[in-house]
Amino acid sequence: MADQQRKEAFAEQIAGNEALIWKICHLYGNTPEDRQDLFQEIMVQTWQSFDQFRGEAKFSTWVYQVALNTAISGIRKKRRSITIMPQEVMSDMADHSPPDDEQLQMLHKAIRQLNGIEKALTLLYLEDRSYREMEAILGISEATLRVKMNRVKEKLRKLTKA
Amino acid sequence: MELDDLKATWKNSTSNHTSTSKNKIMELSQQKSYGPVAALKTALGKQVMIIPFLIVVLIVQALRKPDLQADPFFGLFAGIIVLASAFFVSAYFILGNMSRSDAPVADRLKSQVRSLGQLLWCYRLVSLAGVVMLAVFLEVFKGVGTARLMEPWYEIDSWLRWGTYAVLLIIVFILSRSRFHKDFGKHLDEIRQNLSAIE
Repeated sequence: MADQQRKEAFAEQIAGNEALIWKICHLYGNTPEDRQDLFQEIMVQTWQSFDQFRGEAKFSTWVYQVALNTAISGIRKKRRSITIMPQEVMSDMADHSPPDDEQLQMLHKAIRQLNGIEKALTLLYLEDRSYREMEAILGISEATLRVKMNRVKEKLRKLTKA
Repeated sequence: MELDDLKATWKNSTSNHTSTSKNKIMELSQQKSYGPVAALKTALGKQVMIIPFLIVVLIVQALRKPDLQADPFFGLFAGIIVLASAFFVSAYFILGNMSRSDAPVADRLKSQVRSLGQLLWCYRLVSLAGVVMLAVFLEVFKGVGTARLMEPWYEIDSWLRWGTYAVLLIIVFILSRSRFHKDFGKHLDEIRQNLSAIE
């Protein structure tokens, strides 16, 4: 019973932050299968770490940490070709096809060419997270983040022009 | 195209998303992990199965032939079991450290590089210790117990024997590295690449 309540509390919290998880999946996964695999792995990792969430930070900050860690270093690139998730589970998942907006599509394309850390930085910047929150999520000092962000902006400018 | 100009469009893009049901979220969270730590655990889990098998063989042999207990090679066999068990215990703790994913990204990357390095170090140390133990037992217990079966080996010049042990050590050193690199090298390279992007 307690376990069921925990699961429900978890699902409740995740549902409120699902959009941000899908955004991470979009930036780090190249194919729909990659994105769904990553989404599933993030669900598994967040669930396994859920006990450690003490509420000292916002839940969204905590989810960003787990999801970005999973996207950057928690998933193996070389996967088996078999489907890792039951088909019925996959088909019931939300439809998260790429955005229709042409500019956003171009932006997505450019961001995908960045390295894992730059992608995370861009995402947090676009999501309007403060540098202090970015520091907590990424573990990079605020001063370094500002320098890196300027470089990323320049890089994206070049990539979208090319 | 300026990144700042796209912030609003980016944020609005979420409104089109439909959501996954809570039941599906619960179902997904209970699936098996396919991350690198899980892969390491699976690989080690398969190898750890050999320990009970070796212990059973050791006990059965000791019961069937009590005089075996005085054989130095019986000690070598037991020593190898202890070494392998020590490796699996260390790996268990290292993997436990690697499992946590709710830490800042930079800290986690550093911890993963450190843990994988420790794992490789343990793996290599245990493999090399196994070879050293074999060489020591062969040379110290010449003509005692099972070593008597190795008579032709002792007819070879001692320099050649020691040279062979040295070559064996080098081979094991290289093999342990290449085996580890084959399984986790790509993953480690990616982590290092991301880490260098931070520093």
